[in-house]
Amino acid sequence: MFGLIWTLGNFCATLDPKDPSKPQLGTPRKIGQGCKFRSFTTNNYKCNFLEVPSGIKLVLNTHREAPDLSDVLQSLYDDIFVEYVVKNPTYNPGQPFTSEQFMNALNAFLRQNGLLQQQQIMQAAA
Amino acid sequence: MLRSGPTGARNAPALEQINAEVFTLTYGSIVRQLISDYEDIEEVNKQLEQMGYNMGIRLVDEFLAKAKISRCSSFRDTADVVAKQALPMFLNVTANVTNWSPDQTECSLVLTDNPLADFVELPDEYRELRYCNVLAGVVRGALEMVNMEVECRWVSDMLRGDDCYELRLKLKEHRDEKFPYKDDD
Repeated sequence: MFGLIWTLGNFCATLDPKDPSKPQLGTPRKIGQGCKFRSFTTNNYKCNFLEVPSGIKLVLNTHREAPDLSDVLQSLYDDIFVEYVVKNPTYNPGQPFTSEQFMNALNAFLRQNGLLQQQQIMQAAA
Repeated sequence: MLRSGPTGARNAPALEQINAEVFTLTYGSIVRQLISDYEDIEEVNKQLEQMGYNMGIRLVDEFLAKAKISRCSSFRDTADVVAKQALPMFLNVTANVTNWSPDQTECSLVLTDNPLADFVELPDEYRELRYCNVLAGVVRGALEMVNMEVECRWVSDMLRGDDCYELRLKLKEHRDEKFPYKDDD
């Protein structure tokens, strides 16, 4: 999945119609440079995406009719990721992590937003 | 650009506060303990910096969550954000950014007061001790997580008799994001 997101991000930055100095397709890009993509929709699902300046990427797959979830993803990062993962002393930035508190808070938050009907798959990749 | 949904601006999550004196005294006892454990001042300096680095790599996510800034476009912007937003948020001090080098890769953050070093006097035998080195480590760690490799060192220290605290920041490299998986996997 990372390759998909990486390439889509590069592609969006290259397609930017307003940026005077946009990168060429295929050249390395700094995090957050150029414009970003927020979501894409296929026949079966919608993938919502947020990239933070520190490189953390949040991916949320929902059903097709979901509204723009950028705010949801942003508050997911602010309130849940930072609270339960970053502040966890056993977390090493860049490494995979498992945290039950994080999962519980995540499920509660998604349920509160009415997004959890079946178990949604949430991946955080740095 | 139109935004869908009625959400509008969200309130930033409230920042927890701690008594400044408790913070200062705790830091002082950490330094004291390090000195008695290591006994070599250079080693203590290195350990303080390493501790700061470990804190910085985690602190940056919390800062990004609370401050809600968008991407900084240059090192100059970054230094400004560190001095005017990050330091006030975490230490309640504002720093000034001065002494830019001609190629915009080096600058100084000048602090006029430093809560880490309140009530502190440095005795003569510890003249080599960089008491606030943890702050240099924090800045280095935080900027490393946004792919900017910097070198931070203290050039003026009020505990040694200078008139302000000056932290010299030198940008070594602004890295591009690397594709972490090898092509042949």
